[in-house]
Amino acid sequence: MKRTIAAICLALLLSTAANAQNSCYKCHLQNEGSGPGPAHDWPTSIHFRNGIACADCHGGNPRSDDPLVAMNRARGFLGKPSPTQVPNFCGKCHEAIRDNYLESAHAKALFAGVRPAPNCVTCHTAHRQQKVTLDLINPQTCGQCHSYDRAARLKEAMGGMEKDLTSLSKEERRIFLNGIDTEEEQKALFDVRNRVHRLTHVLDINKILPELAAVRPDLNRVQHEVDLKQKELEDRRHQGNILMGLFFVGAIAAYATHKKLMEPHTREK
Amino acid sequence: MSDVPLDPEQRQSEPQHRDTSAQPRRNFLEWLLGVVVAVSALTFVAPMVAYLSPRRTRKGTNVLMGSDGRPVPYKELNTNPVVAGVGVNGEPTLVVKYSGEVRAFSAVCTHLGCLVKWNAAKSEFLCPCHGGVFDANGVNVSGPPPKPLKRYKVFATAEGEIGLEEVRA
Amino acid sequence: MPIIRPVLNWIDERLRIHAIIRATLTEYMVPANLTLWHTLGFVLVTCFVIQVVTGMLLLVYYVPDTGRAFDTVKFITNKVPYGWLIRDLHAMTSHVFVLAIFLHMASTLWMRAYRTPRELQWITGMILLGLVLAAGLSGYLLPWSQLSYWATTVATNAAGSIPRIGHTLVLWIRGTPNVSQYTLGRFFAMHVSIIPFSILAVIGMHLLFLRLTGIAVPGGEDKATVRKVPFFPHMVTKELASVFGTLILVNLLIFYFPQVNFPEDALIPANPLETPAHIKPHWYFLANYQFLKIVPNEFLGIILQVIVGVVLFFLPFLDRGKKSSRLYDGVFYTVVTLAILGYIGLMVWGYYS
Repeated sequence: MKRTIAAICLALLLSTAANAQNSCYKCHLQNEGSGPGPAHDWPTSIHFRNGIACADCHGGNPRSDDPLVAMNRARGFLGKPSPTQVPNFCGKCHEAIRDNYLESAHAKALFAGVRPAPNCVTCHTAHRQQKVTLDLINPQTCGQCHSYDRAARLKEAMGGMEKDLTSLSKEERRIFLNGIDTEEEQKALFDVRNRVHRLTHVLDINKILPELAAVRPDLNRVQHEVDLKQKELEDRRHQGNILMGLFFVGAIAAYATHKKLMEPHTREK
Repeated sequence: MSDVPLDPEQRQSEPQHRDTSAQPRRNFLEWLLGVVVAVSALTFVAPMVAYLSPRRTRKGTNVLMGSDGRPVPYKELNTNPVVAGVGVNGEPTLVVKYSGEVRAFSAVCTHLGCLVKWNAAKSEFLCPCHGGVFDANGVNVSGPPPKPLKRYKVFATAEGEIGLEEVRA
Repeated sequence: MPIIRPVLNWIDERLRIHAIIRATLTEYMVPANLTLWHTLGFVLVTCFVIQVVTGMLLLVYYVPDTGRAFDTVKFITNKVPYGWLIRDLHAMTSHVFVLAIFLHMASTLWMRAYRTPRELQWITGMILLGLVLAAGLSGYLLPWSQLSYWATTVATNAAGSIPRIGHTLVLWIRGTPNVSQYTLGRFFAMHVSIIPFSILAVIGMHLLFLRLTGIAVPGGEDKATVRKVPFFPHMVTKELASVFGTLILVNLLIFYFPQVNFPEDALIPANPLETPAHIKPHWYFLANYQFLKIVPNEFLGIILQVIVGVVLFFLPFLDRGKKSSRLYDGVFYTVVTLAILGYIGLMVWGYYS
C-alpha cells in the first residue's frame, strides 16, 4: 500500500514537472475548448501519470509558445502519425511489442491496405491508455471486424496463465516478507512474465498455445520451490509453537511454585 | 569464615524450613519446573550446536575450480601443461600432462600440509617447505613425506569441465 | 555421584562458594511484597545474555563490509542450520530488551525507588538506557538493507541541526559525509565491543549498588520490620515465570509478527541512490521522531529533548523525598502520568503520521 502511494506521489511529481513547461498541452487544451480531444484525454493516461509528455512521442519544442517553433518538422516535430506509422511511433519505446505485432495478422492487414485495420491505438487508444489488462480483448473491440471466437480462445488461454502467474507471485511475495530468500524465484517469475506478456500481440493461437506450454515447466519449477519454502515456514512455525507451549508450562509451573513458597508468608497478614 | 552479608541490615528471618504439609504438590511442581527448565536449556543449546556445525561436504561430481570460483574448462589443458585449482570441497589440486596422459594429484604435501609444485623438467613434485619430493606417480621418493600424494582420475564432464574422481589405492 | 561432593568441597575451601551462595541466594532476604514489576531486572539480564550469545554466534558468519554484509546475513538466515532462529532471536530480543527497560524505568519512577540512598542505581540505570538504545541504533545498520541505510541516515542527520558543531558532529559519527563503509566499520566496532562491555560493567555497578542499599520496599514500609523471604527460591521462581513470559513474547514476535523488525525495506539491499518512501525509525524512537517533526525548529526540538533527558537523569536529586506533602505527591504523580501518556501518544502519532 505504502509503495503504491509512494509511486503515485512520485509519478504525480514527475508528471507535473514534465508537463509544467508544456506549451503543446496549453495550446491544444485551449483549442479544444470544452473538448473532447487529445489534450482533454491526456491527464487520464498512464503515460501522463508516469511523467511522459507530448514532445516525448511527438517531438517538437514544448518550451516555446510560437507554433512555428514548437511544431517545426525540420527540428524533429513528428505530428500525427498515419495508421501505418503508428506501430513504429509507439515502438520507439515498446520495441518488443512492436516486433511481435509486426508478425501478426493485424499488421499484415494494416500494411496490405485493409481499412479499417487495427494498429496500437485501435485497442489502446492514443491518449487514454491505461495499465493493460486482458479485458482489452473483448467482443466490442474485436467484434468490429471479425467474429469473436478466436479472440475468446486466446483470452482464455492467456487468462489462465495470467491467473497462475499472479497467484504464484502472491505466494512468493508472502514467503519473501517472512524473511526467506526468494531471489531465484523472483528472477524466474520475472522471466516467465516477460515471455508470456510478449505473446499478447502475436495473435496466432497456434503460436501462442505452444509457447504457453513451453513456459509451464518453468512455472512448475518455481511453484515447486515456493511450495518447499512454504513448507519450511510452516515447519518453523510448528517448532515455534511447541516451544511456546513449553514456555507456557514453564511459566505456570514457576509461578505456581512461587505462590506455594510464598503461602506461609502471606497467610498471616 | 562466617557469612558476610553485603546489606548491613541483612538479618535472618525465621529459619526457612520447608512447609511439609503441602509437600507432595510442591514436589511435583518443582519437578515439573526443573524438567521444563532443563528441556528449555536443551532447546537453546541444540540449535546453537547445529548453527556452528561445519559445512557439509558437497556431494556430486568433483570438478576443478579456478581462483575466480568457477570451474576450469577442460580445454585449458590444451594450452597449459599444468593447471592448478581447487576441488569442490576446497582441496588444492594439480592437474598435469605427463607422457601423453592427464593426471591429477592433491597438491597438499603429506608431510605437514604445504602445497607442492610440479617441476616439468624433472617430472617430479617438489615441496618447498622441507624439500619433500614426489615422482610423476605421486609416490613419495625423497625427504620427509610419509605417504604418496592423493591421486585423482581426470575426465571431461558433459559441461566441458575438468572432472576429478578419487583413486582409492 | 561420590565425586561431586569432594570436588565441591575442594572449590569451597578456596573460593568459599557455599558462603557466596548463601549470601547471594538462599539467605539473601528480600521483602515479601515484591511484585512482578520487580522481576523486570532479571528479565533484562536475560535479554542481555540472549543478545550476547546470539550476537557472538552471528559474528561467526557475518562480514561487516558493504559489499558482503547483506549477503552474509542472507546466508545466515537461509543456509546456516537454525541461522534464521539465531538472527530472528537477536533482532526480536532487541525490541523486548528496550520494552523491558522502559517498563523497568516506569515502575521505578512510579514507586520512586530512585530516592535516597538509591541515586546511583538510577544514574547507572539511565546510563544503561543510553547504552542499550545506542546498541539498537548501531546494530540496525549492520544488515545493510534499505531500511538500515536510510534509517541511519535520518537518525544521524538529527545531530546536524546543532549550530556550529552539528556538521562536524555528523561527520564524526558517520566517518564520511554520507553513510558508507566507514560508518559500517565504526558502528560495527561499537556494537560488538565497547557497548556490550560497557553494558556489562554498568550492570555490575547497578547490581552492586542494589545489594549495598537493599531493594526499596514497595509501599515504603521500614526495611527492618517488613516481612522478608529468601531470594532463592522464593523470588527466583517468580523471576523464572517472568523469563518464560518474555520468551513467549519473543517467540510470538519471531513467528507471528516478523514485520515488527522486518518491514519490506529491511529485506532488500541498501541502495544509496534511492530513498524508499516513508522511512521511519523503530517504535522506540518514534516519539523522538514525531517530537522533532512537530517542533518547527529542529535544533529547538533536540534541545528540548536533551532537557527532558537531563531532568530524568538527575531526578533523584530533584525529588529527594524530603518534602512529601500530599500536594507535592499529587503534582508528582500527575506529571509522571501525563509524561508517560504523552510519550505513548507521540509514539502512536509517529506511527500513523
